[in-house]
Amino acid sequence: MKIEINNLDISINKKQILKSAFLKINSGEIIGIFGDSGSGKSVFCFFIMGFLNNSVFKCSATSALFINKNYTFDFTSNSESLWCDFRKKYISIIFQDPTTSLNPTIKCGHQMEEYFYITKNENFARNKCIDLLKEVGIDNPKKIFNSYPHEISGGQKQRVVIAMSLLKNPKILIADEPTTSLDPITQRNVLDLIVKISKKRKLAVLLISHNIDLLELYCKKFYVYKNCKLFDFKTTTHKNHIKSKNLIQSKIRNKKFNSLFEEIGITNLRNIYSKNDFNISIKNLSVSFNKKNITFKALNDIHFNINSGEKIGIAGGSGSGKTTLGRLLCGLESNFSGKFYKNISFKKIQLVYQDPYSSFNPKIKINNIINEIIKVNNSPFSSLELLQLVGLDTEYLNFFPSQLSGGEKQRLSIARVLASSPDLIIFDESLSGLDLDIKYTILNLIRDLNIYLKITIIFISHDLNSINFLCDKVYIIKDGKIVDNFKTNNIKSNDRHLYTKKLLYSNSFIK
Amino acid sequence: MPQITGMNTLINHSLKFFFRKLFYSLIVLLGVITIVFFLFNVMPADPAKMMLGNRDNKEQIELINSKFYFDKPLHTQYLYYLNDLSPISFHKSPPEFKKYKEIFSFKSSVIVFKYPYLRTSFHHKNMTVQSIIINSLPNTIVLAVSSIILALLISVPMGILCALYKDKFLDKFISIVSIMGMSLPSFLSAILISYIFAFKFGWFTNLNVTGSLYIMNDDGSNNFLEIKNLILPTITLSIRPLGVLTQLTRNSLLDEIKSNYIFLARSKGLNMFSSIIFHALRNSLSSVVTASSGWFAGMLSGTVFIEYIFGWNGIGKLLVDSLIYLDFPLVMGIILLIATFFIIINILLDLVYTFLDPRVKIN
Repeated sequence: MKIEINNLDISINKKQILKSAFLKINSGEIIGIFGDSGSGKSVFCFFIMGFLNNSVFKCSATSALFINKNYTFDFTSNSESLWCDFRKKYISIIFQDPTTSLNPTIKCGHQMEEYFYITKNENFARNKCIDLLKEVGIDNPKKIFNSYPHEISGGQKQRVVIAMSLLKNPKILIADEPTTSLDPITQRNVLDLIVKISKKRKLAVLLISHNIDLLELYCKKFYVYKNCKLFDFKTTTHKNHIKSKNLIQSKIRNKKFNSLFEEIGITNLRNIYSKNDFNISIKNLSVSFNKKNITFKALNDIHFNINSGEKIGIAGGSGSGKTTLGRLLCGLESNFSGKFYKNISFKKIQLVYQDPYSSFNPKIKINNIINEIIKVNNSPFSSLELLQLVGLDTEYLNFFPSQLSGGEKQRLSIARVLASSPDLIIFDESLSGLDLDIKYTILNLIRDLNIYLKITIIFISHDLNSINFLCDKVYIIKDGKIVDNFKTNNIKSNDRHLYTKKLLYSNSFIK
Repeated sequence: MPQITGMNTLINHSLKFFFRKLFYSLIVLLGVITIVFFLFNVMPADPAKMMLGNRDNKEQIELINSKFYFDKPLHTQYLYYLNDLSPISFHKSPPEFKKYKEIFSFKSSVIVFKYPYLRTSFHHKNMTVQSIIINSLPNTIVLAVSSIILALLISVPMGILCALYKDKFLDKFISIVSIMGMSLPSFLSAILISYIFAFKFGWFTNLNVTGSLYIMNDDGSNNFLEIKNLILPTITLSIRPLGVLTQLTRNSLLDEIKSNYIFLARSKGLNMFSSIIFHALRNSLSSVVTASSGWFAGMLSGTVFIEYIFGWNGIGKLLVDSLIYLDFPLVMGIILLIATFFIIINILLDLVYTFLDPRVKIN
């Protein structure tokens, strides 16, 4: 089997998305495509799957062929029945977000079995599904088979999707950021699984990601997607791009700071931001939720101490209770037992959320978004100053939130939080969806806030690299318990808890 | 035995849900009764005089006033009315109901268990409200059910077609027609339809311009069923919901089609049509069900124009007539019936949601 695409152009409303692209995949190969988020990598996936609406997208190529023995398929074909036939036999796709890629109203097993109804081959359908679920590493396949998607975890869902994509025994698998929304340990497991399957079944994989370490680790070779072009692994643009990305990565790893405030000359802000000293201490604290008479302990007997001016990191896998801890510190979680002492009002503690897309009202202009908070808190500065502070163009005051990119939105949410002149800011996975270079600049911004404005920072994340870059002290949470705490200087020490080591290993993507 | 306990908790939940809903609905009904009762008594009209018409004299008026408690203060009248409505009621002397069961008696006072008593109509002499309502209720139910079924049967496939051929000619054509249907007032469409199909082309369609579900023999001896009279009112009544539901189905389907799970289904080899039928449709139906339940409840509470124009003996026509004659017991009876319809449909709607979406739990 092989795929050969030459001179592929894709455009939408006369705007070019892809210019003269070349791609070659042979069976059993894992080929990567690297690109920043929003650059149009997904459009390319959709082209290969034939999901592009051809009344909107214009695609042309000198040749775009899938060849398998006697079967040849042309990707520029317009015939729906040819496409269905092709998808039925040769190609599968895994999407980024496993929570939306399964139909919420149909049991997982039935969604899998459906394939056999489509191909009219119903013999032993159920057994085959269960075998496949076992193959992708699900411990209790029969239970998962009979579960609705909302009843199983994100990692399990992604495994079900992978199992589903293997039903047809495909020749090529397209994985569009297959692990971005999973927590680090699951991420690593799922990727290892894909590699294993690829080897076992001689399956070609097109792995698309914005994580360069991941691609370097898992792919034989990968393309760089930049300025509407796919760059081959021999070109200089490819090499330069990788080099610059690696540079940033190493800056984060080696704590090379790059202060934004020093660059634009805001270094003396302490007068405006007169901060009060405070102290928060938590002792023997537990938070539990009751669900159907089953008590679930989100936080279990934790000890915790924050002094003003600190930069504290909290790390853990998904479902470990780190978000609950963040909510508790903001006063959003009132149902706790234990000691929670603080001499700071909840008004002075602010939270920056994970998803910058849904945390703004899309109908209100940016100027009003910030001014609203300034008015409520009687803060002594203007929205203009705040935008400058976080490094946004002052033109943006008259824009709507939807006109900003993901990174800019996250800067805006920092500006909004600053508008209430807080003493403590909690970042709950605030940077997890961002590209590396944007992440780097915002990490520096957060550090500036701490150093020049004396704002205390709590940074909740599953990315230990960012925490190591930003914070002085780290708490590792697992299943609601703090299993490890240490200064970031000692992060590589041998005394670290086993779970910390595991997190570090799955974060780094180093062979 | 985990399965059995699971079943038990499910039944427990359902029972709890049911009783809580029942409790809330009783409160709603009580509120409706109170508001309508006092509103009615604010009106400057004397029901006794209206009942007697031109032949009124003082004695008769007093007789009627004492018979219907008009001489009592308002709050006493209200309590008496509640006592009549309540299934468990208190009486000073043995009551005159046909069917009741004594629970407790002391001297001549009794507490009885009975069907809610809606009293007798002021206007229709000596007829109980129950019997009047029962006469026209089947007409309304038959009309409403047939209209909503017709609307759903046509609008959902139309919506699917629109979603499938989005922005193509067919989609635009159906959209324009459905918007026209939505904006056509029912009194106009009723007149147009009865004029065209029953009057102009009556020789061909053999339909009547007016007529109810049951019509009387010429000699007035016997009622018989006339199904064909149902056709025109049903079509007229379903025009507007048809337009709305078509657009709703189309739009919610188009939202669903963008989801990843549809792309995943298509990657299995399903074509667009089958992935809509097997995957998107069920998930997009909840908004359609919500809207159609609202329409259905509205239809059950009577559609005055259509019932008047087609001479259909339904609840809506009855309500307007009884309002004209200030026939308080009848108005109250009909309003209670309508409120009950809304409550029942809401409970059913909750059950349908749990059936459509496994994430919704009865709770």
